[in-house]
Amino acid sequence: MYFYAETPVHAGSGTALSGVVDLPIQRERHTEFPIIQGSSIKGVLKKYSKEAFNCQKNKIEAIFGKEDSVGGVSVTDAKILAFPVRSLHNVFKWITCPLILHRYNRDLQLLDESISNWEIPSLADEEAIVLSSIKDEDTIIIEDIEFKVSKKEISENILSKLSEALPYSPEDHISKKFKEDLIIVSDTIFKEFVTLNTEVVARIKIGDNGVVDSKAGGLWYEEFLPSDTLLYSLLLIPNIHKKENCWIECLTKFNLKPIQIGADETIGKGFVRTKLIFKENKTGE
Amino acid sequence: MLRSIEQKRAKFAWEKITQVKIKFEKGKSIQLKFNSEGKPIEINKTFIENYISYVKKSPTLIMTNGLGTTLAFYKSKSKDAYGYLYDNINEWFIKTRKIEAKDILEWIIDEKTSSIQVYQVTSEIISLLAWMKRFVESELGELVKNKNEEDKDDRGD
Repeated sequence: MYFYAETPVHAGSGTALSGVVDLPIQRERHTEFPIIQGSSIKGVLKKYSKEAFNCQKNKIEAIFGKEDSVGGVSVTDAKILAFPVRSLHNVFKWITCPLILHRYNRDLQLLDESISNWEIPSLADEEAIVLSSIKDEDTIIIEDIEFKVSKKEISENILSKLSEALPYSPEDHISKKFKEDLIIVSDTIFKEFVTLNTEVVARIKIGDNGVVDSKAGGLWYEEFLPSDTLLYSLLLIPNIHKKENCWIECLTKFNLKPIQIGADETIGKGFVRTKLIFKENKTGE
Repeated sequence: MLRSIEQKRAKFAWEKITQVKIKFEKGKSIQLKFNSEGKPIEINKTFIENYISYVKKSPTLIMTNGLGTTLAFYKSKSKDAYGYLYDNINEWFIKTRKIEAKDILEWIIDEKTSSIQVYQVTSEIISLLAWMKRFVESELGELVKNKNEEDKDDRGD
């Protein structure tokens, strides 16, 4: 299941004492890449199945579990696939890196054994692989860093597997933009961007007297994954259930629908559009 | 003996803030290291209030505006607590670099410095400031409050 952030997303990890941000987002500890915990995703899917899509109660319990029994579907942590960054050319671009592509390749193979091992180029920190029209340029500026455009290429096969993650039709503006503006940078550079360039918003609480209520923690900094971030998660359905149509029926309802994940729903945060791709013989993605 | 970087940051932060406390109690002033020709700064209540406020805001300022811009701003205000904060950051930077460097701002601008290196130093400075934020409130906060209470008592006479 793919998630395309249409508004900023805050999947929080509690209050942090150190550094800048009081309310940071969830991250994978050893890479510091942003993630959304599988438990968060599973909870959202269950809630929507119940309330929005009106799936039958016994089916919901079979798929998502109930109080005294485990649900059938396994939901992995949502991992980041592409991260939007400021760029002089075309407003913004998406970045990804070899580590992400490698993991994505591995995850797809989990679902579909026929998928080959991709040839993923390695990159120096100063290099960036770009697509299409700007290929003739020598350098490209992302945020405020100038990268050398690499001569290396990314295969059409990999690009199409990335493009199919978007919940929009191929003619849609974002789909076309993605094919032009996806950039591959090194793992280290990617980490730098996703740690220093998330949305950090100052929020205040105003008391009854119309002034910032500093006693109740009046000012805090909250971190968000920016709009246009692309993530994916695997939904794994055990073999015994794959013949039961109700699973597919229920989960398919999510395809191309907007759902809300994480905090601050009532201030418009966390709205993502999902896309569900099924792998026939195996499981759902 | 193995000491983590966190421990070292904490010790350095503690030393800098304790220095302010001691100077305040003795009614002295501090000579800024990066501005050794300039006038020493008087450590009074205003200095402490400002210093507390600046330290608290610094990580966000750095995240939002970048390390270079923020440091340039601090360095330009050498008469104020900003100058002392710049000194602190500069001193920590020099201490933790294995290559010899004289001044953090000059190092950032230098052609031989890559953006990855600036990113690493930025992370390190923000981690240091996290410690300074904690100590500044606990060690210096009460100095400012006490002064206020003393003033109130005087007025009562």
